[in-house]
Amino acid sequence: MKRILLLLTAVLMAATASAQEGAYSPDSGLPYWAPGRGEVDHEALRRRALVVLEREFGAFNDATGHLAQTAVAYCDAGAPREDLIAAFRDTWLAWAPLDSYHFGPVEANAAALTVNFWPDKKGFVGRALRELLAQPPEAQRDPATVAAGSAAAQGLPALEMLLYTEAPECPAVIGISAYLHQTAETLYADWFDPDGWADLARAAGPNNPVYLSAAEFTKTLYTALDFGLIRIADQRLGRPLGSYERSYPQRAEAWRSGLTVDIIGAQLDGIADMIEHGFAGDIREPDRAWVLQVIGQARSRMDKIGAPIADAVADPAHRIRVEGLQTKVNDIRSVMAQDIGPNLGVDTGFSPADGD
Amino acid sequence: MRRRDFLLTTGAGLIGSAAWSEAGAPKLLAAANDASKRAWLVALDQNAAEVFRLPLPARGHAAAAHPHRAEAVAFARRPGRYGVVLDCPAGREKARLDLPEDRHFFGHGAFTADGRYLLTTENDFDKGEGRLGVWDTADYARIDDLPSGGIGPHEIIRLPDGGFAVANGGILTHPDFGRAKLNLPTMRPNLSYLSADGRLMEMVEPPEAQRQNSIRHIDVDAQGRVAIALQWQGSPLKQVPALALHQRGGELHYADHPDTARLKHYAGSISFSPDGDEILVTGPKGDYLLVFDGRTGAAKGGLALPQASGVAPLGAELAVTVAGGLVIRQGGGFSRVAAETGLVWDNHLVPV
Repeated sequence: MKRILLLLTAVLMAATASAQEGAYSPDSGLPYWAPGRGEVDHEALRRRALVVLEREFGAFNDATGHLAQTAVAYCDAGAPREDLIAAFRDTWLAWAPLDSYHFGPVEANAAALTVNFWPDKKGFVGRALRELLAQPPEAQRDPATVAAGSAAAQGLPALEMLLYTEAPECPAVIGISAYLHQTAETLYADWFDPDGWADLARAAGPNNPVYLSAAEFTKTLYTALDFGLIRIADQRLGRPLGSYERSYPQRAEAWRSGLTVDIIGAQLDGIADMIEHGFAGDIREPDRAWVLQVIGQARSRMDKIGAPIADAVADPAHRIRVEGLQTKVNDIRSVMAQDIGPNLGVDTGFSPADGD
Repeated sequence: MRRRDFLLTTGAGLIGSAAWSEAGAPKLLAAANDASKRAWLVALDQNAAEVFRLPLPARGHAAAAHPHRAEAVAFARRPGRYGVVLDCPAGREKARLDLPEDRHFFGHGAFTADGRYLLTTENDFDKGEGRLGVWDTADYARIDDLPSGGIGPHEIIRLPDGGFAVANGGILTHPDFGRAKLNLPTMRPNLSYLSADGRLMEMVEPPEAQRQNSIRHIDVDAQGRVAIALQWQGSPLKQVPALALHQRGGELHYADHPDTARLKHYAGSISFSPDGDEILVTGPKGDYLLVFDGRTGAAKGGLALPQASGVAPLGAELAVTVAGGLVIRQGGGFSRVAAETGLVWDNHLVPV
């Protein structure tokens, strides 16, 4: 293991060295531009960011495909339940980074709610699931039945309720998983098929119906990362934390399966991924390194909570650590606003063109 | 028992309140931000010159002017929650609308003709329902709330007969998702008509092909005909009308314009000219203004105007807020009025 690490380090050093020797590479965004260069290659950034997005939407597509197969194998062929649980977990963690990118195909397909109906303050998921379970078995396993029903029974929280309560798992788990896979396929296709959203972003310009310049796509990405951080701080952590007088363990996302903290970790990793490999060298090296370091600090605070979020918020000793993580996530937002936004030259200030 | 009083009472009370003349006789109100990003409600007189500006707690959207008293209510931009009542001659905040925890404003409101009540468009976001808040303007206490007739009620206007029209945009949003739109594939906007006492009288929905064309900002002419500025939420590659017209009892009439694409699927504000001859539709995203014939809806040209945002009658003309000032539409032409630089207008211009 140590040898592999050493080897990797050597390869990385070689790569860095060759980039430093060569001319500026728009693909890698290397070498990092010097402080004061003051220009961002938005087209190169877009090219790299689309690679990151394609990988992440592809991973979600693959995970849901595997989940759908595993559900059939579990219900129809007696495959081990652990396989299904593992596939469910992988699917949710593959979705986590995509929660930040609520624009384009995700918005057009209303996927934020169909994939992850949360927060569910009025118990819509339980009600919708009961309606699905009242259908004949053949209908339950048919994704068309799920498609025709409520969004609350089309995604991960409904699957979780099936798998972590006394509800009969089969064959509804087949229908929901199959529908979730259809959603993932649609999202991937709407993004990356010819004439999809990626092509729309590539064609940014004065006559583009959405992006008047490549810089506008950069702004969309930057805003999306900020949105993801708000979702972590205010919703994923803020909802279960409640107030000092009262915490709300069951308001934690995925509290039944205990995936809460892993989802937060996966979303943070996704944000770091976009900064490191998408924004890459088009943000100055010290700024990029610093924001990644602060994200790393958040990750290590997360690892030190030492209990599932739902339990941790209710226990004074652990609660402080959850609050500490929330503070750190807000710190990431400040660092982004202070260093990364201005660095990218994206104006997130007031404009009547923001619309309403 | 003040609840439902709204449905029963008539008549105005004008006890000891200043009239608009005492506040410099403003004709228009608009939210704006200055260079240091502070938010203001700015009032303009008949020459489009600034008469006063009052600070707002955060970014504003539209406002509503009391029909008799020199009071303006400025609303937060969604999903903001403030509604401040400004005593304009005194230059201070008079009251703040106390919104229930599970609501936010959509940024628009309208007074009843007698000025006794204020109606505000609101999101009951955990239920996903549009509501209209009813506030007693004696002390701006909340006395009731009514169904808006759809999801995402945006602009509400008073009609010549004292009733109201509500643009239910159809778009589901929730503050947990910021400003994200959550139901685009299934959205169903509508235009709803309410009686003067808030009862739902009529509702018209778009045909299937226009279902994703959000009904968002509206104006009415002297005959009660409603003009709608639309915001397309479907595939950005499609070209769809930015204007629809409606007369009570009829269907929606969609009006094409050769320059519609210049608006980038986003019609901002809309206004009939005072004589009803023209309709102006602003496009702050596309930096463009569309002109339509007020009676037929036929295209009458357009103009590139950076940050064309709010539009409202000013005397016999129409005023449009643009980057660096205003533009006046008069006699088929345009003239420019410069305003203090550094002020950026927000989306709407509201007549006093």
